[in-house]
Amino acid sequence: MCNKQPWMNCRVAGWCAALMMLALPLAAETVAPPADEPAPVLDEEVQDLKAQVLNLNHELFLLEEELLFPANTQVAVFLSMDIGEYFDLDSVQLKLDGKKVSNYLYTKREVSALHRGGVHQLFLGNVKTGEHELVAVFTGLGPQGRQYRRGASLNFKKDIGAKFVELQITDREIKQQPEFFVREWE
Amino acid sequence: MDNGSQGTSGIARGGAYVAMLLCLFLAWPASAGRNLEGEAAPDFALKSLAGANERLSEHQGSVVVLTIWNVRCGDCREQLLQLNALQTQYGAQGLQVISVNIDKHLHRVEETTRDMQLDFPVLLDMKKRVAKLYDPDKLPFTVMIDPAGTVRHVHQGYAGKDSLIYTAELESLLADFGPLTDQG
Repeated sequence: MCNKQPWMNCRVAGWCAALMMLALPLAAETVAPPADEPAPVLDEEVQDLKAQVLNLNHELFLLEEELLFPANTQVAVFLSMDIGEYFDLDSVQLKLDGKKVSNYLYTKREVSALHRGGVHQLFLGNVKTGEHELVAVFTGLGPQGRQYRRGASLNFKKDIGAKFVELQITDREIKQQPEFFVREWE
Repeated sequence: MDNGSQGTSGIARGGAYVAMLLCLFLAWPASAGRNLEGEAAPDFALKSLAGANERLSEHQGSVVVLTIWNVRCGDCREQLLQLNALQTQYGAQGLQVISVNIDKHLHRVEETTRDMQLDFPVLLDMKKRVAKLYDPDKLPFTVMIDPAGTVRHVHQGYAGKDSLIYTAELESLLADFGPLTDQG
C-alpha cells in the first residue's frame, strides 16, 4: 500500500497516526467538564436552552401564520360573551359564503373563561377581496333551561388588509333573553 | 453491441424494477393504522353521555387512558369494566379514563353503560370524527397519554391478559410524572 503512494512517506504517516492516538484521550479530557462542577450551572444552561427553544417555537408559529394566512386574504372570527346569564353556550357553527368552516363545541371551562372576559378565536382563514357572507349559528340552553338555537349573519366587504369579525353574546335585560351580534372590528 | 447483450441488459433492468417494487412492498406498513406513539395526541371535543362537552387537551396534567369502542364489541365491554377499576384505583393519583363510543344509536350506548356504573366520561362520536383522527385497526383501540399530552402506549383490541400490561404501563407513567402513593 505504501509503495503505491510515493507522495506519502510511510514512516511519517505512522508517526502521525501514533501522535493522533495519543492526542485523542488528552482532547477528551480537556473537553469533559470536571466531575465536581456544581449541578446548578448545568441546570441554568438547560433552562436557557428551554427558553431559547420556546422563543424559537413562538417565532416559527408567527412565521407559519404569516405564510398560511397573509394579511391580504386573512379573515379571523372571534367570539366573546357579555354576562351570558340567559344563555348557556354549547356550540357555534360558522358558515362563510355558504360553506361550513367551523363547528366548535365549548366546554364548561371555556364558557367560564368567556364569562370572565376571554375572547376566543373561532376561525382563521383566507378569503378573496370582495363581498362575503358570514353566518353563525349559536346552540345552547336559553332561559328556563330550554334548548336554544339562534342565527346571526353579517355581509362584509373584504379589502386589502386583514379582516376581523367578532361574534358577541349579550343579555337583554328587558326581554330577559340573550342577544347575538356580529360586528366587524375597525 | 450485439442483440444478445442488449437482451441481457433488458432482463437486468427488468429484474431491478421487480426488486425495487418488492422492496417498496416490503417497506409498506402491514397495518393501515397510524403509529401514534411519541406523537402529540390529536385533540378533539365531543359531547358526553351525561350532556357536558369534553375536550381532550383539558385533561393535560393527568395521565389519560383514551379508549375507542362500540357496543357490539364484547372485548370492549370487558375492557370498560377493567378501566373502571383502574379509574377507581388510580384516579386520586392523576389517572383519567376517557371513553369514546362510535355507535350511531344513543339508546344502545345508554343501555350498555347503564349497568356498568362507569366513573369516567363516555363521549359520543356518532360521526366518527375522533375515530378518523386516531384511525384504529381493531376495537377497543386504547392509547395512554402522558401529562404533557404525548401518546406513550397504543393497544389494538383487548384480551384478559392485557389488564396486567395496562396496570404496569400506568404505574410506570404515574411514577414518571408523579410519585405513586402506597396502595396498602
